[in-house]
Amino acid sequence: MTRHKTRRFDARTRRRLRTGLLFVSPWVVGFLAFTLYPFLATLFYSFTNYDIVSDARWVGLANYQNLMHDSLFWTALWNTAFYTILEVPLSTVVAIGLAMLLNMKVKGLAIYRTVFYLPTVVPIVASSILWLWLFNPSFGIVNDFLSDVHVSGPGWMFSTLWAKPTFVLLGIWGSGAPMVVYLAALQGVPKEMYEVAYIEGANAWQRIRYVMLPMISPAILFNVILALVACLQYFTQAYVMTQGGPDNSTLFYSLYLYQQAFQDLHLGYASAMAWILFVIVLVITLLLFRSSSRWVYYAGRD
Amino acid sequence: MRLFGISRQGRRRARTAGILGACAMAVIGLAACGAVSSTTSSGSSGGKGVTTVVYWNMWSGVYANLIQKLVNQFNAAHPTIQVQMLTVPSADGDAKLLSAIAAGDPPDVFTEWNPEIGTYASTGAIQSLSKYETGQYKGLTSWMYPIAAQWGTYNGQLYGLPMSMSNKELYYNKTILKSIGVTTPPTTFAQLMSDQAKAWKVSGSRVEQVGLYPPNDSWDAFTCAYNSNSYTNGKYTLSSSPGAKAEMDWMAEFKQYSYSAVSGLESAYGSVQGGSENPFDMGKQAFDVNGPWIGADDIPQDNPGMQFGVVPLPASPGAGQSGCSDIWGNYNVIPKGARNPAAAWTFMTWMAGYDNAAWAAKTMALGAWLPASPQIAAQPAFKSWIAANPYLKVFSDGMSNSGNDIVPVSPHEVAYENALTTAVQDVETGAMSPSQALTYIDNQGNSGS
Repeated sequence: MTRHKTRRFDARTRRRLRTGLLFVSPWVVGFLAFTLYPFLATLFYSFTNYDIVSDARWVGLANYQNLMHDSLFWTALWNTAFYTILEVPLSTVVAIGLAMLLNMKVKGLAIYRTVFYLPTVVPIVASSILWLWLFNPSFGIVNDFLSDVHVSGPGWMFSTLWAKPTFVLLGIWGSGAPMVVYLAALQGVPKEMYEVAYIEGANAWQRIRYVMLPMISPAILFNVILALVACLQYFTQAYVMTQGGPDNSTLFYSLYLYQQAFQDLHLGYASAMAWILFVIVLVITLLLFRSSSRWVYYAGRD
Repeated sequence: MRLFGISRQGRRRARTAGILGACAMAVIGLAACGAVSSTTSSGSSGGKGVTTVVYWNMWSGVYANLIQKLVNQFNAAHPTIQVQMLTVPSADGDAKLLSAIAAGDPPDVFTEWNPEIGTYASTGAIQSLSKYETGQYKGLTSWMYPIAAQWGTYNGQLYGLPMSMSNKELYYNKTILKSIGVTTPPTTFAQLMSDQAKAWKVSGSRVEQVGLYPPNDSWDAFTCAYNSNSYTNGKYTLSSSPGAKAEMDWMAEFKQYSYSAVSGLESAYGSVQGGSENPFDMGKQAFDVNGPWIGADDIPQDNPGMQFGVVPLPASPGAGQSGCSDIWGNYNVIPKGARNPAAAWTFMTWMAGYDNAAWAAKTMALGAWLPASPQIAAQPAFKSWIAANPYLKVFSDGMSNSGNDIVPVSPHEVAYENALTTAVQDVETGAMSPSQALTYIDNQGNSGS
């Protein structure tokens, strides 16, 4: 009797499984064909010399060894690290600050929220062109303003010193998406916690430091990981605005990878670069996750 | 339980059958799409005896419309060959071409420019055309300007057939020259440098008017004036070339002008004019070394009242030759794996104007191009275009200049050109010395990286 029931249950489960698989099959096929296969294929190609047209030729670790002696590879890595180290903390602070302001009860809040979120919905290429105009060293409104206050504006995008900081400013301007996440997290912090802290004598900074930040720390972890990955893969703005110049000062890692792959047709070399980037992202993300037990507070846990 | 007379089990079966059916329809639909695509690409429509030639190029806007018009004229004149044109974005046009070749479904014809011919020929991405130079096409190579044939030739084989050419000469803004007290355009390099220095207007850190400023990608424009192309025994040897050293030293003189301020000016006008990045046609630069399209297309469109003239680019003292130029062109190639190469060849020779010089002469004015053959230049339509625009005579005459040169056709031309751009930029910003820049170009060009 039990065996019979088990068999019937199994048959139904199999049917459900089949139906379920059929429903998810578009995603499964897409994942296998367009994500997993290319992912593994790049690992293979990273050990080859491949220019799309000719057959891939096995070169072992040569691509990885050559990368170690490629000065542009190190330049691109440095540019990306510089941008990431400035951009992630600054945009996090700005996004949390904006979220705190928008969490206050003031008139016209919906308008403010829209205004601060607006840069996020502007297409990247459009905002890049806009920034080229704003930060034009000769005719840009930013240098015009600086000139009015008797400050000689820098060359911004066209200066080797200022090009990367200009991209950081552009990144901070587009902090709308994390701001919304922080705002949602802030609204989930019970008022009573601030009230208790206030009664206990905590000042404003202490209420932020010991109540607000721990309570929104899961959102911070989430946003920091996303921002890190985005910064390490930074591409579109540099591609549109500077193409890596001047003097390779904005040659970010992904831009150099793209140039190697699709302009110079060094697909094997570019694949090796992609895997190095993947390992870097993986290690940083794992370190962040491991450190999170020390600074991320989940309300549901003890 | 039954609903509308169907049991639960029946509904489940029906649902499963429906899903399977939908999947099957999707598969059939995709297969059908593939079949359609395959038919289009393979290009033979059987019974009618019409061969389809798939043609890709990287033009956009008005130029894409113009080329489509020319294609339509070819189709009307050739009932048994129909060309289907597709424009691909120039930013990744080459990558698309190579992907298509790798996938076994390339176009039959692709219009390529700049230095890819040598690179592609050396990797086998494009086919040699020499095998078609028989019968009526036997005299094709000698029909072209020697420099035009040289551009399309790699290792003694023809790989690219030009449909139009261009060279660069010295434009000057008459109004600016008058304002600085210069009454005649320069005929020597020394005079050019002296005149251009007077034309600069700098206010604080802002450049408001430029005399002459060689852009990053302008090395080739001055190679003829300096006799600085240096490629021997399959290697770039700029670092040991006196001409290249002189040209790079000259580029380094522009360090005195703020790179970021000049770039700001170029970027400002480039953005306004859709990326042309040329303040000359907006009346903010005294001199420019550029092609016929600046006078024929850009100035009439951007700044119609501008007074300008063109003179042969002077040569550097003791180096190159006056009025000669580096030559560029739009070359049609047949990719590896093309399905209808014979029909593609017919289309290419027609676009080049080999059998129809009178027609090709008319198209030159439409695209502000120069012809690939002196026989086209001798046609009444071309002559009347030049007569109506006297400044174009400098370009037309320049095509026959014995000192003309091209970027050496090598397997690493792309890497070489990229290195030139970086090196010139670094010299103008002071990041590299001229000798460092030349060594860098040689190293990058010879390693192909």
